[in-house]
Amino acid sequence: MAGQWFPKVAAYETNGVRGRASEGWDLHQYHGNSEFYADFGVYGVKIDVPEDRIVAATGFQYKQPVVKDGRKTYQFYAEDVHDFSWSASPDFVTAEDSFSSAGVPGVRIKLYLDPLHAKQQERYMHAAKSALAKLGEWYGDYPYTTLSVVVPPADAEGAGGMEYPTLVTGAAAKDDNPGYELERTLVHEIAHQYWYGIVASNEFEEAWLDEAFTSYTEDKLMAAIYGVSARTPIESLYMTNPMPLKLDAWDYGDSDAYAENVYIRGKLVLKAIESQAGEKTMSKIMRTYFQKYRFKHPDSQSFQRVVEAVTKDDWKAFFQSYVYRGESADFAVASIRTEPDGEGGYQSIVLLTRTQGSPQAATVQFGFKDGKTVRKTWDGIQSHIQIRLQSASPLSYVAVDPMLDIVLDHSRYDNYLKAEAPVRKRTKFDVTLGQLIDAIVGSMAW
Amino acid sequence: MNDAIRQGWETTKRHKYVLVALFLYRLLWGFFLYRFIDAIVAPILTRYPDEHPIGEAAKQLFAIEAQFRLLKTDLADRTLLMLGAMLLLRMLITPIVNAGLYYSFAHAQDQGGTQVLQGIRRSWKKVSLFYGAEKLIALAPAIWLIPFGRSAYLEMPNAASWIGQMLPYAAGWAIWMLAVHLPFLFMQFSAAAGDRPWQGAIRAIRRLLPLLGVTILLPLLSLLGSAAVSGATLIWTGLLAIALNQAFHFVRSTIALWTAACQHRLWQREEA
Ligand SMILES: [Zn+2]
Repeated sequence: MAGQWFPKVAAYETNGVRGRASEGWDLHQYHGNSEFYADFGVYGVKIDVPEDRIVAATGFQYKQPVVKDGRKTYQFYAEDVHDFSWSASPDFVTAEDSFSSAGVPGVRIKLYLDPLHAKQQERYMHAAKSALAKLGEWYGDYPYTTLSVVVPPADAEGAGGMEYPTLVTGAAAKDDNPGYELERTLVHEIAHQYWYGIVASNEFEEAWLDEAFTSYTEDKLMAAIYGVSARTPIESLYMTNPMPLKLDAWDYGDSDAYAENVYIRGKLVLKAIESQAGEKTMSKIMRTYFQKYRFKHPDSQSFQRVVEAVTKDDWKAFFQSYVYRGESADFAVASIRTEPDGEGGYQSIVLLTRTQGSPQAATVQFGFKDGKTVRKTWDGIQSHIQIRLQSASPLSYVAVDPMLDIVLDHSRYDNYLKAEAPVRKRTKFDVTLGQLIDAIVGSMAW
Repeated sequence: MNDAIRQGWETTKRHKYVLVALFLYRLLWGFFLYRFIDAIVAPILTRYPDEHPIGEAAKQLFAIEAQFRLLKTDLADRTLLMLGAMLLLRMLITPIVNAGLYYSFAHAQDQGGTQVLQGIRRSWKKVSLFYGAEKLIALAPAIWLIPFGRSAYLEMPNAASWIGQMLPYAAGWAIWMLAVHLPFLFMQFSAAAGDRPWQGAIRAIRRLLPLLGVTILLPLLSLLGSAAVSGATLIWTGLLAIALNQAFHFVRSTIALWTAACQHRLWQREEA
């Protein structure tokens, strides 16, 4: 596999591209934590390999390969792409098929599989066709005539799961009959063709515009094609270290922080927009953004403008909190006080807080000792609110956002609070833990 | 062994003031430990979503969030550090108590009262050396066991299979600690009595069976009592359970002192 080669020509940004005041190079060295940003161009490439090699590459072959003295020369051509990559192996099991649908004018899908996955041909072909069909339908035309899928062998794992223009690599073939990760990796890389390939944002400086959009699309594709639903609440809790999304890739520190924020948290930001704007409006936002910025290298603000134009609403606070500052929508039940009101009933005072994030309404459920529940909505405009309740029975618990509607709340434990710790359990845990620690310490010390 | 247990009991009775001091010392620790634990347990219980409208799913998310925070953030660092510091402080005090107590044990037949303070003055340095060496050797496997356990936890599909995998290692470590403890304990006895320490180690090996007997049986009583106290909280709540919890320090202290006295009898027997 030959891809992501350095040195390479840096992108030259003209006036106004990504909000630039004056034209110039967007120049960065190679970083382990970063991916692509380059200008679109036309590539004509000759590849000279030993005769037995089968070559997969960006674009299409415009001439029959020439064989001479045990060598074989392939010639490839590609337009409107911002990178070129190729792969060669004597072992590829190949297959080809044509496909067209609404938004996909006519594409040759070419598979170059590791022999271990020879029997998975149908799955790869089905995933590739279904993904292209959905992407064409949802966002717009696939502007190329080929899509090559390379599946590397197990010991070339590092080359697996990667996007290049009109060429993607699936996950390395380790197992002869893998689960849905085969499809998941492939549709992810194909979705990249739209965000990485065609829209082509700057992945050095705002990688989320590619990876988060692609991960969001991947979840949509997996649900639409295979009925596999996303695990959004769990992913949201996994965000223990939220950081800004518009951030130079190497400034995330380690690769975990980079991947968590750029892939998962960015995706959750898109899901949060979807949950606030509605699914239908969200697909319109995504389509408009793609249509408006194909081949244009947009930035985070370009996307914000599209969201605002489509929803006809102000999203400044949302983008400030979640994109530029990297906050959590941290709703919490801070305290509960419940006591007899002197007239046979009870009075409760509940303090709710939203310490981070942008204003957003939240459902609040109050549960009483007699089993009754009351639901209210807090508009979430202020950073806190005190609620007074009169009731026949003492307040037992309060839960803010009980139905997990707020996607970006990365700390859920504080969304729920009981009026008091259950006495029996509290003593039991205190005593048992105390006895345990005493026994351990006592075995080593007086 | 029966003999040693009976004689050990006599020695324990002779050291009743030491026992009272030990009990008060542990009671004080127990008081702070209880406050420390409750400050962690109470907030967790008030946040635990057992009445949450979405039911079981809320509890699962709570467990998942706890796991992420424990593994990915420094949430537990302060607590672990405090517990570690507490253990360390008690371990620093222990060899000093050992020096006095073991010296006094060795002179249990003498006229006059217990001789704990003389013992401390005479041999705290030597005893500390052996105690420190023992703990270093005993705890050394943690250097690779803890990272090993952590990475195994991350790979295992669930906690039950992780515990299953870890059990033999934990058992091995416990046996290792015991194997290190016995000879070093006898070396401390010898050091406190002014004998040559390595002879103590040889005695430990010679009297291994009865020594193992008292070292395991008596603390087992203590452990059973501990479990009973924990179990009692299922029946009693509030002050009564807490009082029982603290009062149990007396039982634990008595058994600890008795165990040490028995072990010392076994070390002494050669002269008889
Ligand atoms: Zn990707």
